[in-house]
Amino acid sequence: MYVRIIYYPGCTVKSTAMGYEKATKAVLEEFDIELIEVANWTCCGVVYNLAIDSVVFTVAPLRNLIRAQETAKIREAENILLTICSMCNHTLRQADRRYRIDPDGADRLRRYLDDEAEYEGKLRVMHLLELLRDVVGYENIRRKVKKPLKNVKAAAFYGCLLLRPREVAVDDPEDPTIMEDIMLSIGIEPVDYPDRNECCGSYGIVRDPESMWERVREIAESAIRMGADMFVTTCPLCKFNLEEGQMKKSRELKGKILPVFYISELLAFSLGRMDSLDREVLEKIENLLRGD
Amino acid sequence: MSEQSETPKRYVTIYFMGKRYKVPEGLTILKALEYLGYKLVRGVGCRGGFCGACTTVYRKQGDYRLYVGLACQTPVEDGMYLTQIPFVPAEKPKYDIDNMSPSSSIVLALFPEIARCIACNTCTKVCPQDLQVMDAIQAILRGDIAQAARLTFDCISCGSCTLRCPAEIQHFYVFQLVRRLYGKYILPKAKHLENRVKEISEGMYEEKLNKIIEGGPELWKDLAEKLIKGMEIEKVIQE
Amino acid sequence: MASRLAEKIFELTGQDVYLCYLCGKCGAGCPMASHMDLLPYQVIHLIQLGDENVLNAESIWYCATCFTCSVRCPRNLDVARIMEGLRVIRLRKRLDTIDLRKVKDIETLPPIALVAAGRKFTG
Repeated sequence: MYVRIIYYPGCTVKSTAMGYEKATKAVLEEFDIELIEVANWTCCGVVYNLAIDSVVFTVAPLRNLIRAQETAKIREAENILLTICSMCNHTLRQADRRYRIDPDGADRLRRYLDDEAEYEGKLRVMHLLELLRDVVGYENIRRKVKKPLKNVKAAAFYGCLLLRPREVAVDDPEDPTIMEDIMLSIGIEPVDYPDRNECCGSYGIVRDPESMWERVREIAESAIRMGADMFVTTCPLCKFNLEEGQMKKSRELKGKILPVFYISELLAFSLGRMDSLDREVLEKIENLLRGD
Repeated sequence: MSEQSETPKRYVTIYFMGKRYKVPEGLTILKALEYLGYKLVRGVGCRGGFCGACTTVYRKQGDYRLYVGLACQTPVEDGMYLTQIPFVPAEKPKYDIDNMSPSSSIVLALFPEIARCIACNTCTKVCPQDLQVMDAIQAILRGDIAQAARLTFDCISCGSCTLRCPAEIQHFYVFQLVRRLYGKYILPKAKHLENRVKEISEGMYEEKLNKIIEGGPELWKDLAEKLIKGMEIEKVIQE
Repeated sequence: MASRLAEKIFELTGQDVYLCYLCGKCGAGCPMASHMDLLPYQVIHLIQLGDENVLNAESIWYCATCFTCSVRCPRNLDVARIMEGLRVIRLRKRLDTIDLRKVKDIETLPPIALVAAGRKFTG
């Protein structure tokens, strides 16, 4: 069954996380899902502004929802908008929700965005994890595994905006299982540790990096204590913070630094799509499998 | 006014900085201001729609919308309410174009305020050159500076976008940087131009040029006549 | 009588700070708690009392908008939104918390960090 869906990359994917996109496209190709990038997308504007009296910060994400809607029409794709970045997912869904529950705000936005088509509200924003769970299905993933990632213990790191607030969450905020379930279907042994749904520090690194590195040290310690060999994440900012923080606190962590992978990279490897992985990533995964 | 032409002119009412005037229909804003006796020292330049000096902001009667146009290109309309913006303050950050890589992260590091763009599209609406300004800024955020350079080729640095941007981005300096990076690092080099410059600096035409220079006005007149008659320049130089 | 600050927060966020009964769950779960001068429920208490000094607290800038507090509040208060309300009051007065042009090692940061910081720390 061949499906075409709309894809929203997000600014960081296109500049420092291209590997995430490449791996994702390859993985979805294996399941006959084609990604059509939104025409002329703009930065979604993380993090969604929570003041209810103004709609100006809803303009950017809403503009993207509209452009996605129009791209779906022109390119004859399903009304599903895929995001692979947790923060983009959060922001687009918050904007969509705002438009639906605030008719006054929606009206103001409609009037202001008169240079775009009208938003019909029929678009469904989906994060990669949901797509894998609901559209692809764990069984299908399991069936296509060529190289299961045995003997690898991974700490799924959800971060915060993927799971909260409840209205835009992809899984239960306190006890999510979606990433672990996907990892199980490719042979990885997930590790349960207390900080898996904790915030990595997010944009705090711009203002006070030291404090954020402290956060990461705690998260890394708790994962290492439970026996993890790696972190798995779906957010470029989480990846950056986890890597940077561990490096900066390597002394306190006694030199043990957990590599951080995007979930698609591991999926791509297990499905035999090594062609879509950067050489560095490939090497890291192979080293882990060997038990280095 | 003392000048009267044969046919009766039609006049329109305009308000310049709040003062009401009657000016002949069909004039550009620039010509109209000079008709009124204003001597423009700032806010005027090439008069050809290219230098970006005569940025004018105006409203039309009964219309709440704000318009921006170049005074030398925009004809006056009845009920126009206008003022000029002769200068838009912006600071160009220091950078060494010879030591940069053509990546969006460099642009973002020099102009981090680009990250504040809320995609409001005000810049696009106000551009007198009808450029896709917001798309150009977003192209940079998307990592595509080549696209940003292409979209802003016709930018005349008038500064209207910079003035109205809620995120306080200094668009024209950003675009200048992007175009410079594009031209220097991304566009393929014109090999034939390089070769030609090399040929000339190695003296390929020295002899012939010296002959022409030494030939004096008689020779020049003769050559010019031949060229005017339509002889090809190569042949002329041969002789 | 609601304090003026509480009313302003209500306008901006739709949240009624007087629902808070200071159970402390938000402060317990906040990942940034160890860096904050005032824990979330203390911030809310100050709003209840109308103490405008709370606008000078460091806490509101250490908040990472992770929503852990909002998800756990037994009275369904959107605590993260209240924190945002305090930030918005300051940012709308152009009292920026960071200068984007002075960020250290800015070339190493992914764009997403700059965008988010721009939204949360500058007006």
